[in-house]
Amino acid sequence: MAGLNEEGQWIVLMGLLVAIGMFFLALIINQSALVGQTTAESVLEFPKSDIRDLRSEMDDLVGVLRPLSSGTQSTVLNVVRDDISALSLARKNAVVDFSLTGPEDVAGVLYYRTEFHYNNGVTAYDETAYF
Amino acid sequence: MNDRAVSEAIGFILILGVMVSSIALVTLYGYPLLLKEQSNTDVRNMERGMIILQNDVKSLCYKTVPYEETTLQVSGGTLSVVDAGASPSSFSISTLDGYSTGDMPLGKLTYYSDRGSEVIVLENGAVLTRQDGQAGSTILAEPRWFYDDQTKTLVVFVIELDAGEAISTSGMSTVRMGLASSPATDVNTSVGASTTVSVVYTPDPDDDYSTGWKNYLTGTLGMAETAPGSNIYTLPDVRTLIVKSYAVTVYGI
Repeated sequence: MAGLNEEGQWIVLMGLLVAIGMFFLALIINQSALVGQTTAESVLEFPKSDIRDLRSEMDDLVGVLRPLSSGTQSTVLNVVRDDISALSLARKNAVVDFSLTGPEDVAGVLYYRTEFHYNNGVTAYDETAYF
Repeated sequence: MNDRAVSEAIGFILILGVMVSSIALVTLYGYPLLLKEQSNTDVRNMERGMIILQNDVKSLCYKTVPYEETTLQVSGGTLSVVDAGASPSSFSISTLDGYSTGDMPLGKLTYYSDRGSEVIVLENGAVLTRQDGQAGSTILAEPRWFYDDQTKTLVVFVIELDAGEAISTSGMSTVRMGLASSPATDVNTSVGASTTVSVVYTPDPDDDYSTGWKNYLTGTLGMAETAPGSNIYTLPDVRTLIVKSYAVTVYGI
């Protein structure tokens, strides 16, 4: 053994042991791989198209009501309101309510003031619009 | 160089000693810590998995999607389905003016952790968790009941999970669910007159989530518990009560 330098062998052996240890650690940590991510549906909860649909219905409704007499207007309005509320509840699980007043003279043009309310438990939305 | 008093044998024993003791330390303290950490990770993963399943149930019930399928890894525990008929937990909703739904059984998807004592459950569209053998529970993801202030409408969804039989699984599993029938909408309208709605939760004595439900109903919905521990909650000034019940069938997990 004389004259042979063996001190480096320990370092190599220790290095090997550490490497094996780290390999097993990585193996165990890797076991807890994450489950698949959900789709972005929970982020996209805002009922944009539902509110747009409701708005468009309001516009159509004003078009229908405009030529009618005020008595007929309120009858039609009540029937349509009940229908829209029931439909949105059945199909979209949303509570919808709206009111319509007017016509008001806004800068020389007669407009109906509509206030509508939308709530589906996640989003509550109120808007006042003139049609 | 003077090499006297330098022994190769002693040097070897010293270094071997250091190695053996460090391995022993890692085995003694490090490994249990590692196992515990893995068990925690399993539970966290399953919490996330349950929220994914909750989203599936939401899609089935609120978005008129007929069928949902999700593959997830159930590790460190078991996922099982308890049929509504076999689960004692139920909701019952009534009003002061005489309307009552009667007991509506819920059914549930439950994850029991093997190493820890965590239990995670998907019940009535909510994800709840509790420690096995201890009282109390907490809600991880809320269901979508709501009270609309403007129209004074309370909307309540009751989701019944049906499996036909008790199924449980571990490892990779595909949870397949479908809407059993078109939702039976049960509407009680009393426009004009405001009434008090009372919600009764009947817990399963072996799997009790009444604390979680209590915190949700009194906190988020603003109901009042009639007496501590009674599981009866009331909400005054409701003009329209809407109770929608859905039946979700779990085809397999």
